[in-house]
Amino acid sequence: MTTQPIIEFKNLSKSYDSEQGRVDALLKIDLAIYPGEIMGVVGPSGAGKSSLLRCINLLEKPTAGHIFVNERDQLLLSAHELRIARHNIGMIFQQFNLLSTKTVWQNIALPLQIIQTPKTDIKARVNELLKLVGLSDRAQHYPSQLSGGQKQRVAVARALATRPQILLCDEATSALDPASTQSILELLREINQLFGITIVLITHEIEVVKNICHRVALIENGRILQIKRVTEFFAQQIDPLHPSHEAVVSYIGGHDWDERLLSICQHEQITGLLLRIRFHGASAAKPLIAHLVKDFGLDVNILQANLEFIGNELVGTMIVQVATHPHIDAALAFLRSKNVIVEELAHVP
Amino acid sequence: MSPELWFALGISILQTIEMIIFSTFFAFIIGLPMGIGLFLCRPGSLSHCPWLYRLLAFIVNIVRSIPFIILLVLLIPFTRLLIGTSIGTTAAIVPLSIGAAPFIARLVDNALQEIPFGLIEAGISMGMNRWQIVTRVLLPESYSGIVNGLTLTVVALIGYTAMAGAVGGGGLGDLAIQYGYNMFNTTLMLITVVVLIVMVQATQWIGELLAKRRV
Repeated sequence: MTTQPIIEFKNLSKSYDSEQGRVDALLKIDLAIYPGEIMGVVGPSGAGKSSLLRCINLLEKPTAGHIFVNERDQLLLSAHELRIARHNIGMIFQQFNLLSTKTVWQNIALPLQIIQTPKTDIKARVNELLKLVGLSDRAQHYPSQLSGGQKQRVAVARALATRPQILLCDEATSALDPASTQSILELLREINQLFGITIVLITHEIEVVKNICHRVALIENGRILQIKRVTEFFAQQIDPLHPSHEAVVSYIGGHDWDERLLSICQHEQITGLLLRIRFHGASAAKPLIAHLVKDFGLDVNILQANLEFIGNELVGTMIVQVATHPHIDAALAFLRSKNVIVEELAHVP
Repeated sequence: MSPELWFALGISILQTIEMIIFSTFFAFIIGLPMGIGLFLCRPGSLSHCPWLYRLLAFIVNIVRSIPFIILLVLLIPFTRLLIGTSIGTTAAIVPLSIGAAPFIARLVDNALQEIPFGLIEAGISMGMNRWQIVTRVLLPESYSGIVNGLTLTVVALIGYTAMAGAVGGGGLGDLAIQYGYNMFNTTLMLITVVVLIVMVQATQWIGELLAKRRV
């Protein structure tokens, strides 16, 4: 990518003192986020996701390193400049954080009031936002009268009020039921496409990442383990020797395979290799298995298959059993040359 | 009950109401900023100013630990300095206000602590300055908590005004002691008690009504 990042972490660390001594919440984070992208940050709880997000609008102050937004070092801003910079960064929260004593309308108007927007402009903007999030008929309701999904819609509208370039989402769907989660994700995708707003979201729900993120950063113990395009993240080759392999596996799943498949093979007296094949993008659309059968003369037995859309791309996983054959190595090399990830799970004697 | 006594009762009721209204007002004017200060300066909170927090907490605790009747006497020179006299209803308002202010400060502080920190975070992320966070987030969100606290304070002040007689402050307490107790007028004493009960009930009723209102 040649464009300048809209958000850039440079060698950023945050540590604090606790009873157990010095704790590194974030350690030497380097991360660039580009305009218009939806960046997901995943990791177990306590990994530092929340601190990472809060360093962007300086709700938390890093202890070392830099955070740039629009190429300006946030840490060098004066208190006043920082407040202005924050008008350009909307934020939504797991617990919605709406003011309980204000109506939906007043909650959305709040960010505009604090920057002294003229009343008529506020009125027009709030009505426009209410329409965008589909809550025009709830304008005079109080948050306590709304469902969780509706509250988060109000929060999104409020975060967008000042037309920010960046939206930070702090576990925004974690307190919602599956249907509301879907509708909020739809809304986020919509505003990303409509306004080109850059979204940084942290979540522990991997489905959220699959659903809307363009790229994903995996973080554990305050360190970034991987930054990948989301399809590449889910279709990656797992290296069991790599120190981060367990963390990766716990998010992309499918590393464990049901060993009962092996006993089926043994029972059917089919010998050969048990393989897991992962593929994404262009290779997903090609008849690769047919190639193996026709061009290499292999016997391929599909034991398990799964295909899903991640982002706009297909990602597939298959467990196949291939009968012993002299061309098997050439066949596997062929698959690998087509960007297909092949893992040998077991040898069936 | 002679007409003169009924008249004295009426005057006392008015004096008590005067003391309550003014001392609540002044106590609130002093206590609210102190309460906000306590909340903001607490270590780890918005302004994080431990020395100011400790100073405020110290003042609040000192005043709250002095029995009101003693505070009343201790403050006589200060009252005289402030309004020229230490006797009378107006003079009683000074110690009443000073005695109730730390009470209100703590109540405000407690009410503010009830607000989820996420709301403050939301305010900061919107680009609010400290003043805007106080006026647009903290105070509206703690409104019912503060009103409930004020109700408690007014009820306590009704009790305190009875002691104001000790500095010639007048009011119902004074009347009950002077005429009811010292002159063995049980009827008057009972009437005063009934009037005080009515006042407390009315305060509670108004307080609950106000706390329920949305702002």
